[in-house]
Amino acid sequence: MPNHNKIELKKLTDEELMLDVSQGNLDAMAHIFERYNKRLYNFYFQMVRDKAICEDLTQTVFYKVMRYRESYKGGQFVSWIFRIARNEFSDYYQSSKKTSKNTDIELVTSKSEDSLIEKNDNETHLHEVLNTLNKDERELIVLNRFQGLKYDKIAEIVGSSEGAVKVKVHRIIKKLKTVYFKTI
Amino acid sequence: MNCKDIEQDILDFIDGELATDKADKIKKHIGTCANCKAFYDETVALFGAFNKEEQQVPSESLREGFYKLLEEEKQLLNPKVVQFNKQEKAFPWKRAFQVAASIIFLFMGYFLGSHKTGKDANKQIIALQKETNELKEGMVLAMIENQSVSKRIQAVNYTEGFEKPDVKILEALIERMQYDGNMNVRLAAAEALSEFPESIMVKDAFIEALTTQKSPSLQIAIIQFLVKIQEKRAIAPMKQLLEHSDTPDFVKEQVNDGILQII
Repeated sequence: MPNHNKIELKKLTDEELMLDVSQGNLDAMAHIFERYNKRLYNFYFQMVRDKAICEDLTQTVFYKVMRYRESYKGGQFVSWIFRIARNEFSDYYQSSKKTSKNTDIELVTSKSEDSLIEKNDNETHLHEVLNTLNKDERELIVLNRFQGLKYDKIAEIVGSSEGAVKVKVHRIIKKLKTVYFKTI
Repeated sequence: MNCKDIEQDILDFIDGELATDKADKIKKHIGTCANCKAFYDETVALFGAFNKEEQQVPSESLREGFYKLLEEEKQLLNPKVVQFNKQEKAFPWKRAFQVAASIIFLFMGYFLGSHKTGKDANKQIIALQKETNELKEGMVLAMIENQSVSKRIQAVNYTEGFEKPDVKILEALIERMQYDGNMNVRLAAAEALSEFPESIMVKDAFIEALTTQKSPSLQIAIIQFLVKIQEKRAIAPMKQLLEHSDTPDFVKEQVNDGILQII
């Protein structure tokens, strides 16, 4: 596939853009960034409510997409980039668990002043509820409910089957409802 | 449709993912079943809380950071291409031709130069030789009239170097052979003239000298020369020498031998 010029790039699908990038047209990478930076940032934000960490992680994902562009061989781009994002988060999660053994964090909530979020009560309550989930459960909910990804795409991202993902998501929502309405 | 089925499909129902007939059935069931209605309401409320979550906007530094990385990656891409091209160009043909051409020009220049100078040098040498010969001739003609016997002999000997002596030289030599007061000069002149056997002028001079010269050694030299060139015209004057009373016996012997050889 020949490289597309700048006018054409906007019209391309994510997959077409990424194939361009993989063949060395790095200009197409800018479009991918514009389409996905908020999405990835918010994915991380639902996992870790720390702006600085989320920006770092988001940046790393785009860096890796660029660096390992040749490993993209077609297929659902959204699944591919979220697989990278998820792996990146796993790495971060493992290292943060090692460095802060004493704090019983399921998911890190930053204490730094500048990254504290203005919270209303509802938001706080939802976050408390979400904090009762483990990392994998939270990930599924974030991908499904916040990122709006269908079960088949999530299955691709986490390396599972569509049916298994659906069953898990149902179970987690049931659990969330219990906690949410018990403590409201 | 029982409550278990409702629980299975409630998420898709809320998300509007179900076909209309299935969705209608669920709607109907929820309207009649309090448990399922509560289950539905709770789920909708929870999703409502999810939906209230505000989208976060990353700071500008994320974008700046990304475009910086992109530029760096582009920089990495370009030198790679250049290096690859360099490696591919294993043999610099253009340069090789330039070098070859310069070498050819160098040799051409050298040969052209040497050829030209060689020609010039040859011309110069010829001119110089000509000049030397002229000088020598002039010198011979000047010296041959000199008072000193030895100078005259020296002048006569100079003529040996001439391949084709000027008529003036030959005339001068003949004059020396015939009329020089000194016998040694006359003898030297005869020897010098004997180097030019092709000249008719020289032959005539020798025939004439045979009758006029009285010196035995000169007579012998003249006879030897005429015999050597097989000059038939010399026979008559040689016979006269035999009849002449002044002629010494050893000269007569030489004449007899010579006449036999000429015939």
